[in-house]
Formats: sequence, C-alpha cells, structure tokens
Amino acid sequence: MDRRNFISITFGSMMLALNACRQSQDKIVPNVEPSRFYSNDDYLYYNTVLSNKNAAFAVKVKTKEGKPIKIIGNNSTQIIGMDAKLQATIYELLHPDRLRMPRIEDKESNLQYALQKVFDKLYNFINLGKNIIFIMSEHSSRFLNKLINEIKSLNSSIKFFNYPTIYSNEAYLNSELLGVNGEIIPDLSNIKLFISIEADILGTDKFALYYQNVISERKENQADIKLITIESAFTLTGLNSNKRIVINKNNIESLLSDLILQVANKLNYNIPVKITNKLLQIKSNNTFDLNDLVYDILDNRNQVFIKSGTVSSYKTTALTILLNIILNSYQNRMYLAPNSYDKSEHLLELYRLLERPKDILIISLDTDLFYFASSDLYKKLLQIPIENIISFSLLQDSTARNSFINIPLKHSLECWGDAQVLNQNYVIRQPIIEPLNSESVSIEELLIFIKSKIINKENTNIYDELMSSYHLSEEEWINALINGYINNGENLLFNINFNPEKFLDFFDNDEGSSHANLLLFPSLYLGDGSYSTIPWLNELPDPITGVCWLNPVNISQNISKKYDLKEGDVIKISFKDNAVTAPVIINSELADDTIVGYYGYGRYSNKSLPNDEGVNFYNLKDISSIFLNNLLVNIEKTQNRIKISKIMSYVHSNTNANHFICDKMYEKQHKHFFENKKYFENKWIMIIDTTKCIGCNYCILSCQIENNIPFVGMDEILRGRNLHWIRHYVIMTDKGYRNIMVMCQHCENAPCEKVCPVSASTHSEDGLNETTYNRCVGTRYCITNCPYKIRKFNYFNYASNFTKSLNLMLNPSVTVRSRGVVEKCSFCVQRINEYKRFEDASEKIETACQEACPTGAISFLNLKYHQDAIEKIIGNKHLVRLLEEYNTGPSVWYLL
Amino acid sequence: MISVNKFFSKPISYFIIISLFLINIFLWSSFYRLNYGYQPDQPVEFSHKAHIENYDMKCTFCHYYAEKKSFAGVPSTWDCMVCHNALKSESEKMLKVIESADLHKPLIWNRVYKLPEFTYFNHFTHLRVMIDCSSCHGEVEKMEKVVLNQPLTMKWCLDCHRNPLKHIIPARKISGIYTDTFNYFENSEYKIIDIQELSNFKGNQNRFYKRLPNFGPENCSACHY
Repeated sequence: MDRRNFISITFGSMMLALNACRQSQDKIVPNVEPSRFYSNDDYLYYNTVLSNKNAAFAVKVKTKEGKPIKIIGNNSTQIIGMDAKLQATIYELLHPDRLRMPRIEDKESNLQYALQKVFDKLYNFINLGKNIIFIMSEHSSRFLNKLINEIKSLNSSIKFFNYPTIYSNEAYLNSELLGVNGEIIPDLSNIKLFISIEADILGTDKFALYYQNVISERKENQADIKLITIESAFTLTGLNSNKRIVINKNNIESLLSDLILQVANKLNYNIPVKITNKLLQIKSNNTFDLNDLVYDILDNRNQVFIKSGTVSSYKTTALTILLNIILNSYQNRMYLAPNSYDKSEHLLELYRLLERPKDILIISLDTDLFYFASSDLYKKLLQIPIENIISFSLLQDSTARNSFINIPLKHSLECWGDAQVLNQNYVIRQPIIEPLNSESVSIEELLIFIKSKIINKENTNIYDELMSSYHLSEEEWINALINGYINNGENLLFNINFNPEKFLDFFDNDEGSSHANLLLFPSLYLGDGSYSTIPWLNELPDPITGVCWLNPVNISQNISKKYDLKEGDVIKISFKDNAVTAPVIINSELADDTIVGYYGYGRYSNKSLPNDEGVNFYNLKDISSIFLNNLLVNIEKTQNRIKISKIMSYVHSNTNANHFICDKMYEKQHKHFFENKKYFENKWIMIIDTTKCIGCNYCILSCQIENNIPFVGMDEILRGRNLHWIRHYVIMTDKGYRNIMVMCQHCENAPCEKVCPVSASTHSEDGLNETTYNRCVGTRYCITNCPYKIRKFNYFNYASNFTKSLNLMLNPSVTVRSRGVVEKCSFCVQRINEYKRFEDASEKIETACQEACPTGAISFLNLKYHQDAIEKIIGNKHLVRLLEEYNTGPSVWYLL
Repeated sequence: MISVNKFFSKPISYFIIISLFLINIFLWSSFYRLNYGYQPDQPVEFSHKAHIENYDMKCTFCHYYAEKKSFAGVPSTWDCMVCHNALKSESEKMLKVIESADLHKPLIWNRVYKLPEFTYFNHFTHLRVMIDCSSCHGEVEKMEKVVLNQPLTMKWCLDCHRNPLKHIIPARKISGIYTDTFNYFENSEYKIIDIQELSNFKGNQNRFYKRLPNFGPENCSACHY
C-alpha cells in the first residue's frame, strides 16, 4: 500500500464513520384521516380463542400499534396463565417460512384460480363417484362441524377424517365400554384424590392448563387435592405429585388388578366371574404393597378419580375404567373433551379407503399428513397419484411439498371461527390482525366456498355465516365478543353404561420378546409436532432433563448398564420392520427396562430451524400399533455419538443445606427500608411459592416474548450461551421435589453493581437493580461477581435471528439488545414505568412471568402498600432467600 | 512509493495520525454529530409563525396527542382540511395537502426532533407538570421553518431533571397545554407560574416521584429499558 492510498483510506473511513455517527434522518407519516386507534401508547386487548388440536382455551390477545404482542389467559373464563404452545402462536403468525402464494404443480398462481381448480377436481371426482377425503386435525369448533355436516349431507362421496396424531386409548375404550364418545376429563374441583396412571396431566396433556389451574385453585382454598402418580416414566406430574410410585409397565397392570380386587372386596362390589379370573391371573406378578393406596382410596370414596394416559396400554386403560366404575367416580362432575372420538371416522376406515389409492382425492387441511403418518400409511400415501393430493397449509411442510395444489392458510389470529372450551362454553375466534397474506384462505372459508359451489349459490361471507349459526341478537353477539365466551346452557351430565361384556376383548396377550418398553409422549412444548416450527419452543428446556432442540430418548439405569450406554450414545430402536436411531440420555428415575421418547421432532428442516436433528417416532409405528404409544422394542448400540444440548442438569438429589429460614422477614424489611428512609414510595418484591410451582417453564417463554429475548440456536446452547432470563432447577427437600425458578434477585447489596466500571449496573429509587444496555461495554465483571449466575451475555448479535417479518413480533416498549451487552431480568421495568406514568391505568402490576404462571405461584408486590397481601401469601410457609449467607439481600423471596 | 512501515518511521506521520485523532474527537463531541441546526425542507411549506401569529393558534390544537400520549404527533391531513376547506384553499402551498386528502395518500414529513431509540421519552408526563413546549423545542412560534436548536444530549436532559427551576419555562398561554382538558388557564391572562405551584397541580398526582416533587427521576431505568 502506498502513502496516498493509506491516507485516502484513513480519511475516507473517518468521514464515513462520522457520517454514521450523525443521527439518522427519519420521516414522519401521519394518517390521512384521524385514526380511531390513534395511539401507539395504548394496549388493546381482544378476547379470542386458541386451540391445540381439540383443546381450546379462551385467551386475551394484547396488541400494540395493531400488532399482537402477547397472549394471556382470559380471566373471565377462569383461566390463569397461558400454555407455552399457545403463547408462541404469535411467532407462527409472523413465521418467516409462511407460504406466500398458492401453487399448482410448481407454478405460482392466484387464490381464485387455485380454489376454482380445487373445486373442479372435486366436482370431477363427485361425478365419477369416487371418494373425496378431507383430512383435518382434531378440532372443537361447532361452526366447522356444522359446515362439515352440511357438506357431507350434500354428497355421500365426500368424507371427513379428524386425523388424531396422538391417539387417546381412553377415548376409544370409553366408547366401547361406557358408550361415551370421547375422553373424560374430571372436574377436579370436588375431587380429593386423583390417581394418575401414566397420565401426564400437568405436563404433556392437551388440557394441562386446565388441570394446572384447578389444582392450584384447590391449593389456594386450603382444600388440597392429593395427587398419586403410578408411572414408569418420569413426568412433570410425577415430579409434582404427593406420591410417586415407579414401576414397570407390566407391573402397572398387575398392581391395578390387585388394587381392583382389594377395593372391590372392601366395597362388596360384584365383579363378573370371568373378569375376576382374568384379574387374579394378572395380579399374580404384583409385588407392591398396596395397603396405603387402598386405605387412601377408601378414605376418599366418591371423591376419587383415576385417569390413564396416552401411553397406557389397552389393558391398563380398561382396568382404570373398571376401577372408576367400582368407585363410582363417574358420578362426579365431568367434562367430555370435544370431538375427541368419532366411531364412523375411525382411522381404520381411512386405511380401508387407501386400499384403492387411484380412486381417491386427498385434501389435507392443516395436517402435515406425510409427517404424522405411520410407516405403512406413508407408503400408501406415496401410491396416490400426486395430482390427487391437495394441501392447505400454513408453512412449506412435507405435505405441501408432496401435493399437486398447495394453498396457504390463514393463521388462527387472522380469521373468524369458533371453538368449544372445556366447560362447554363457546368462544368466538375473532381476527386480531388483517390477513398478512391476501392470497390465503381459512378452513371455514374454504368449506363455505365448496358448499356454495356444490349447491350453485353465491359465496356467503364467513362473518354472516358464523353469526347466523349462533342465533344471537346483535347486542348478544357484541357482548359475546367482548366477554370472550357464549354461555351454553347445555347439560354437562352424560349417561354412562358400563358394558362388561366387551371388557375382556382388550386383554389379548400381545407380549413379544423384546429388550425394552418404549413409551412415546407428545413433547412438552412441541406437542405432537404441530408446534415444532417455532424456535422459541424448541429452545425451552425440558424441566426434567434440561434438553432443548433435540429429543433424545430417556433410558433407565439398568438399560444403560446392560448396553453400556452413556449420555449422547446413539442407539437403534427397532419395532417390527421399522427402525429409528436416537441419542440417549440416562434418567435414573425411570422404571427398569423403560425408554421414554418424545414425538414432535424431526419434522421440519429449512432455514429457520438449521439444527433440527430430532427423531421422528411416527416412522416407527405401523398399522398394528397405530393406536398405541407404548411399544415393545429392541435396541442396539451404534458407534455414533451426539452432543446433547442441555441448558442445565436439573434434579439435584441433595438438599441444599444453606437455606436460611427467614422469620418475620417482611416486617423487618419494611422497618429497615422505610424507617431508615432508604426507600420512600416503592420497594418491589417478588414472592415465588414453590409449593405451587410445578416447573412448567411457561414463565420462561412469557419472559422471552415480553422482553424481546432472542433464541440462540442449538450450537450456542452447546456452548452454554442461552439467554433465558429465568432458570429452572429442581431440588429435593424432605417434603418432596421443589421447583425453584431463579431470575435476577434484585439484591439490596448487589455484588454486580459494585464491579461495573461504567456504572451500567445501578440501583434505582424503587429498589430495582437496573441494567443500562446503551452504557454496557461488555466487561462481564458483573457476570463473574453475581452469585446467582443469572446475568446473560450477548456473544453475537442474536437479535438478528429476528428476521424482517419477525421484527413485527417484538415488544415495542423494550430495547432490542445488540452484541456485547449483558442483560438480565428487569422485573419488567417497562410495566413498572408505565404504571408510574399512568397511575390510574392499572391497580396492580403484573410481570410477564406472573401473567403466564398457570398456578399463580408468582406474585409481584410493593412492600410499602401491599402488606396485607404479603402476609396472606406467606401464611405459615417458610420464607427463604437464596444464598442468604452472602448477605446480598435479595428481593425475590421463596416460600418452601 | 513509500511502504506503510516507512510512513510510520517519519515523525510527520505521527503528527498526522495524532491530529486526525484529535479532529475526530473534536467532531465527535461537537454539535455536528448532534444534527444541531438541522433544518430540512418539508413537503409542504408550513409556517408555524404564520399560524401562531396570525390566527392565535395553540400548539396543542394540532399536536393534540402531546397532552395524553408519549408522542406529540403530527396532525393528519384531515385535521388540516378542517380549516383549509374554507380558508386559503386556492393557495399554491395547499396543493399538496389537498392532493393528499383527495388521493388518500399521507404527507411524508421530515422529522426534526428525534431521540435515540434506546431512550424512552414521554410528552404526557412532562406536559402534566405544566412544562412549556418551548423548554425543549425552542421558540417555534418565531420559526418559518422548524430548526433543531437543542442539543438533545443526556446531559441536557439531566440538567433539567436535576435543576428544573433554572431551566424550565412554565406553561405559556401560547402552548395551550390542558386549556381544554382541565380549564387551567380559563379566563386567566398569561402569567408565570410559581414552580412550587406545579406540584400542586391537579395533573401531578404522581405519588411515585413525591420524594423529589419538582425534580425529574435520575435513575437509569426511568428512560433506558
């Protein structure tokens, strides 16, 4: 380089740098007409409904500047907190991979043309008398049911299938044995003892939010419910139950038979002789002492409910039903999960139709059929000529790739609809935002289009159609939208007729020789896989194993010894003709010979999820096991190893001896702060009730959404660089497991404040430990000095993971951090400031984590003004502050 | 041809580099960086001076969000047309406004006052303690074309927060703050309000800053979060 060049480059770059330092010159674009929603300060809340399959929950959508930014529970329908999957639907709305244009055979086209093409195809098939199969996921919409029935009545060759991705044994057996079509969900508000047999009611169940709410409500009212779990896996329910019985799958059956015989004996209930003989035969293996359990059950007679889960075998489920009959449990108030089972649309019927693959037209409505299909269904689907497959989907999934015509769907926040929630009320789903893509259609609109085309009428508006289906007056309709639900006076009671004749049909001996028993749960955050495209949910750590971005199988200790397996080893799991390879993780809490796998992974691999190396367990199943999530498999060690991304190793078996129990904490603190004039008006404190906390991690996601925390991806997690502001771990106390959520403790004598060289970490006049991002230079001294290790560092510009469309999802009242900045929990200071500014706006501040907590374990209070509330919350529980011996004076108090 | 190594071997080159560094620092700390004196051309030749002097209009007549919301806002085209339907609708300056209303195309103004994005500022909290617009925006009523004549630095903010008596101009009649909402200035002539009186003002019921009745908050998270 010569001198001239050197100087010109130096000057040039300096001038460029100086130009860059000038403030950017912005434009202001006012409206032409004064807008009704003129303010970008206001939060507007809309009531609507979101559903995970047929489990619908009434929600409130918080919007700012016309964009949905948060989803919270609708309090008026007694929903506290919000499920992680439903919270994350706002990501789905703005997903970068959403389909933009309808596609006909690799060519883009417009919506009108594509819909006409679909109808032509359909009409052609009707004329030929061939079958047209609409495949849709389970739903609970009355309006959709009405449309489906109308279309079905028009032509018999049109068939609709609700494709249950994860089949509930219980729904099937209920219809066979009890004459009730669907899964029964007990109203826990008058039950004293709940026995869960492999049912993960607090975790992976679709209705988990309901169970979580009711159980916490019972705890609040001092009418505690006793939760006993009998399981071979280690689920969130087992973690939080009063008693957890860990036994092998085969022993669960014998234990149950023994239990039934003992209870029936005590109650003088006459079981038919045939059944008794069978039970006696199964019972013989039981080695578990049942005295306590029988005593418990008889003690709470008529207030017991026993529930089996999706992983239960037919035998277990049938035995559970029998036990419930003996105990008269079905006399209690119950709900029926909407549309969970329909005999005429049995999955086997679909298989039968697929025998003649040339003669059917498949229209997939928002089901990724090619992903969810079992191995032999997949083969059958491939035999269908591609021009006979039409798919409607949100994203470019495998079904969309394998279809002839592919039309983008509207997201559920963009279109009208309805759903039935658990307590039989209906909720109208109203659009929160104008459809982002005008070339898209909702399922309801499509069905209305097809219906009106078949009967040769003009296409009607979905809004009018929906409104007229409810027969409400204008005023009632508006009220229904405002309140968020339509009260449905229908009777909840349904008749139960136990049919003992069929009982023994489910006791076929299906035992084969195998190494292990594979239990397949839906994943806690990705569900059956329909949420697997959302990186937020992929990055949420599993509360028990801490694994994220992957679904390694959990293996029991004896299997790991038998096959010499260590964490990260890859095994080959084979079931009949099919096999998958999966990494393992050892879980010492599992019963012997048990492997636990999770559905929902391995679905989607493109730019938005670069690291999805999960295992698709749907491939493992075939027609014989289509209804089973409990497989007897052979395993084999392979030479491969995978590094498993974990956020933390969770269960600490030793009790932390350093917990000080703080007596009369709040009085002392109050005196100290306000009499010594350390604080004048506010001292914010957070109380976390660990007796209520179930470790669901919904708060972590809520915090992530509220505070614009980016996801970092699997590679960064492997380097330990996760950015979650809240960390979850489990400790073992003498009262059982306790979940501890650790966020910034906002210490009085904060060690982080003392070491910051640029005063980016300071103490506010409210007792907050504040971080000033624009001042932070990233020395990371504060991270080193923080004893709780909750400060997180942006090693890269992770915020760039929010691509253009995702920018709309960000909360406008929180700064987006760039690289080289330390961040941590701010006690939702944006909400505190808002409260201070517009004092009349809301009476109490709710932090984001508190908002999402389904059990009400988190409370956020002002030490000066909320003394009564604090006293009530503490009650006679032990108050503990973490690492009290360091004298940091944390503002987060834990109740043990 | 001189190589880089040779360049550094001469004393003059050190002088050049050091002087460049100093120039850099000087420019960095100067008003140049702060856009001081930024006076962009607007799409419509709108004169604040004419509107205020000739028609005795108040600031909040057009910037009506300032009393309630975080931002002061620019009036919509319709707000202009409310008066200009009848008044001076033939003027050449009005062409673009009329076009905007007819074609339903918003006018795009150049923004003069802009705080960095990591700073939260709220007009409402400042107006309800009866701080006049001119405390921060200068005498806009004398400007034909708005110019940025304030530094908008953090020091400038904090000077006021720490010592408001010295810097604040109390609400003037010309700004019209809360004259409609609270009738504060109804039937009263222009007067200078005692700064102590401000804390008793109806709008200032914010109990959170009671400790410092006449001072703004100084903690970081009041503006940065």
